[in-house]
Amino acid sequence: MRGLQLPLSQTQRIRLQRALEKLQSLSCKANSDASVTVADTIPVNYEDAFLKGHGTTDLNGDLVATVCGVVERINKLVYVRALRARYKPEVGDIVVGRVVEVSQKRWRLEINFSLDAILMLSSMNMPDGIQRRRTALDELNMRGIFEENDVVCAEVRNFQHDGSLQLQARSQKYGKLEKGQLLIVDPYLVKKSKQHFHHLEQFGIDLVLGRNGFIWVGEHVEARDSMVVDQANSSEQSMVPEEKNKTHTPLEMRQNICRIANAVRVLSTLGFSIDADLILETVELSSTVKIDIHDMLGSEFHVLVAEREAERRSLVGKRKR
Amino acid sequence: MVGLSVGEKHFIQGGIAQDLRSDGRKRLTYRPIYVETGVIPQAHGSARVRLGATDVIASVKAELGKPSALQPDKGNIAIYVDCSPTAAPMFEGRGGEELSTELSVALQRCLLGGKSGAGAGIDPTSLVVVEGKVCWDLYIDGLVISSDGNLLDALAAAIKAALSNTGIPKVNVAADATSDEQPEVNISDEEFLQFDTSGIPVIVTLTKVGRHYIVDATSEEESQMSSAVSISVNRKGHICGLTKRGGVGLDPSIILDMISVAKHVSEQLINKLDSEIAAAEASEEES
Repeated sequence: MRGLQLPLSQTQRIRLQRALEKLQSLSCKANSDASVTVADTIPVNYEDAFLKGHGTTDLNGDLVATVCGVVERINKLVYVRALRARYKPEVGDIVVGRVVEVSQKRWRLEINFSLDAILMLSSMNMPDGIQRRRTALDELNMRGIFEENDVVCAEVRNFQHDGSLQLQARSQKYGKLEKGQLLIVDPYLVKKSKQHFHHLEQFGIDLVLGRNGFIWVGEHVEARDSMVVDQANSSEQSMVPEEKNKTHTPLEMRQNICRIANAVRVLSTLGFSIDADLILETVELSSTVKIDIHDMLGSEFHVLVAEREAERRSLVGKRKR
Repeated sequence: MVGLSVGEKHFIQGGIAQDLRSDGRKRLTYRPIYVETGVIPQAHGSARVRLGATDVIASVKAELGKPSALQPDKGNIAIYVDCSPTAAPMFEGRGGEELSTELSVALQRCLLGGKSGAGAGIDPTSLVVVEGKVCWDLYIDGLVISSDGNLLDALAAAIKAALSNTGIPKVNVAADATSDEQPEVNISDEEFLQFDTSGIPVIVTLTKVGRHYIVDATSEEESQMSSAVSISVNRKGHICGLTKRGGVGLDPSIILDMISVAKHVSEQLINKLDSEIAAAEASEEES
């Protein structure tokens, strides 16, 4: 059990333990030897020449792990891959980040990586949609596109030679995320899948699962067509924020957003991988049990979700056989 | 504290206006409170309270000392709060000192009453051993381990739990003490006196965002506040202390309204807290 900070009653504790044990027994048994905790000796054939990689150290002639994780062996390299480390980016990943700084011709984004990611002005579609060279005027108007503390969705383009990350947001579906809430979970819970943008039609909600652990749940926004921004419109737009103050998100959509956000929080506390299907199932479970949105964060619902997941995986396992 | 974008701020304010906050709570609902007692074995009493992601520890240590000349029949109580640098990035180095002093002063005002000791939540006369000569000095320390808003409420709850967990050793005074000398005291290791905590108030912080107040704000919601009023209420419904934070002025009628809302909320909070403390002590005895 992952040290859950929930006030569980005695019966709830037993039920939860049972469900988690069932899940553990169903999980892949082949790799159970490869997981190590700190100060475990790593089984290595000392006669072969091998390289000691990250997460290992030599203690009294034994190779010992310094982090909790899984032992990986690649040719002669032996290293321990930590599970709850920072996000490890790969080219083509979709990430959600927060703008930290607006610099010369680029934005600096925080994405839960060891360095800040860079989004160049040239990697961003211009609001008027025309492909052209970015002029000095574009550079001065960068704040009109993204400001500090804005939440932005982008794709990993490549790594720089100094290890920092470059992002791009060239398609219509990337860009600023508004009208919703950002949730932060551990990066290892979001696995690479075909689709990271989910438009949940039955709720009218956009769900963006960033691979860096930042998950955005918000009102659905149509993919932006080329917005024409000129002097006349800019004065109109300055009125829009005041109008926005009066038009809040409608209550029903807000309830759906909160329900989905709580489902993500529950799954993250229990340590289950987060994908759209599981989130939708959790939300359905909460509506069938007729539980209040706030009570989804209580101990009873956590136990129910764990039991449901254990059942579901055992059914999948039986079907395979 | 990470910043919030304009869209997110708008979402939070809209939620509070519509009585549905980001995690589904209503405006006057508290997050689930989790209490553990006896976490520091060396102290005479201790407790850890978790309110969502806010995590605080309170400990009580008692030492024998001399009562002050002005109040020979009362013991001394000192409350001090420390914000650990691990709680939030802004507490690094000496960043947390200002907040620590503010929290300490607010708690002292709410729990210790006036200079003469009148109106205190903790009865200092129960701490005296030999009037005028020997009394117990109580040192109550609070430590903020993780900060996600509403520190004052969590600290007050932790102090209440720690005091219920406190056992002051019984003292046997040597009978043949003359009036000028210090009497000999024998601190017993076996017998302990439990503290009476039914008079200790809880603190309810009401944060005003826009035109509505919310109870138990997370740090995101606190960043949107215009002002916050912390009201300390005891079981009888009496106000034991009042603190206002935030730069925006409040109309007096709003303050009176906030006080009545706080009284209403405090009833449920006191009952919930008492049951959680009882459960925590029961599970501590089992283990």
